Amino acid sequence: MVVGVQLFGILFGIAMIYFAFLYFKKKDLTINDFIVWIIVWLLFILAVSFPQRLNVLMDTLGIISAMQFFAVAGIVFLSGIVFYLYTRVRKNQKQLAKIVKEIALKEGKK
Amino acid sequence: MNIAVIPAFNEGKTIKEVIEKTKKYMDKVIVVDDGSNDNTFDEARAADIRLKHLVNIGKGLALKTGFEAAINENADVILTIDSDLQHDPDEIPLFLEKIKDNDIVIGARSLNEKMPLIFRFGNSFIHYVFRFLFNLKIKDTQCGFRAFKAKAYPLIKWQALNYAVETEMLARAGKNNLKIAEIPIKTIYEDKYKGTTIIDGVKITLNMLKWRLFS
Repeated sequence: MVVGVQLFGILFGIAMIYFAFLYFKKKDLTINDFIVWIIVWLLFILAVSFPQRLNVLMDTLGIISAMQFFAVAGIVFLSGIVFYLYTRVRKNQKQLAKIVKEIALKEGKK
Repeated sequence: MNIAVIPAFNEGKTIKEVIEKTKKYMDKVIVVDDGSNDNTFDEARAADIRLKHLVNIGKGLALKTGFEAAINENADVILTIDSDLQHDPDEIPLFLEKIKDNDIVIGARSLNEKMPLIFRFGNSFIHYVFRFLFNLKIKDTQCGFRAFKAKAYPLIKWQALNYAVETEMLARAGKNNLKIAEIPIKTIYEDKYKGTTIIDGVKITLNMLKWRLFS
């Protein structure tokens, strides 16, 4: 039987798949990004739908409840995303600075 | 050739006077407008070269753009001075004299009563952390009034895009054993302070740790 919080998780996962598809269609996501996100959200939906399947993993990790597992997994996942975004922003900032500098040097007025 | 690099951001009121006074002592003056929203670029007409960043990035990039332009103009000595009249251009000859025997000359502002208390505290804090990490006794690591031998640029070329640039230059100079001298300068705090903020100070301190450990 699917409880309320599971239903919320499943709907959230479906919504995120829809957004991933939308961004892919707009070409904001590459095919590789799209596939990775689809896999992430499908795994999320599966984990929310069948939490008892996670028992083996939870026992190995010493985690007591499914809620605790989701909280830990969520924090780990978000930390990864934050790091990834940080590196992307730094890279973009460097590229922007380089472009701004080159244009300034090229179009300088004497 | 002695070239002055003046980074500027929204300094339309003062930039003209800084350029005119600086020109008395330097062969060329380069102004880098770091994406100002006011008339800074137009007011900088008296400069020999005017460069404009399309968007505001920070003092670090403005100085980098200015240094590269100065080197393209075959500079031997590059002098940096703030565009808000915080520094007195009449002190430039002191820098030009001192740079003859050094790679970098830094202006040292006295931590007098006119300097806002918060900045006196911030400067002292950065000074002690810098001294601890790099073993360099520099009184004022944040002063933007400096002279450099152009040949030192490849050794101090910085990554910082913001106010951390002042400290990063010195950290790199220290690591490359460049000869650094300090001269006392007067500083005028007439306007609202626009320089290093508390957040900048925290970032500079964290960056110093990064440069010490990883650079």
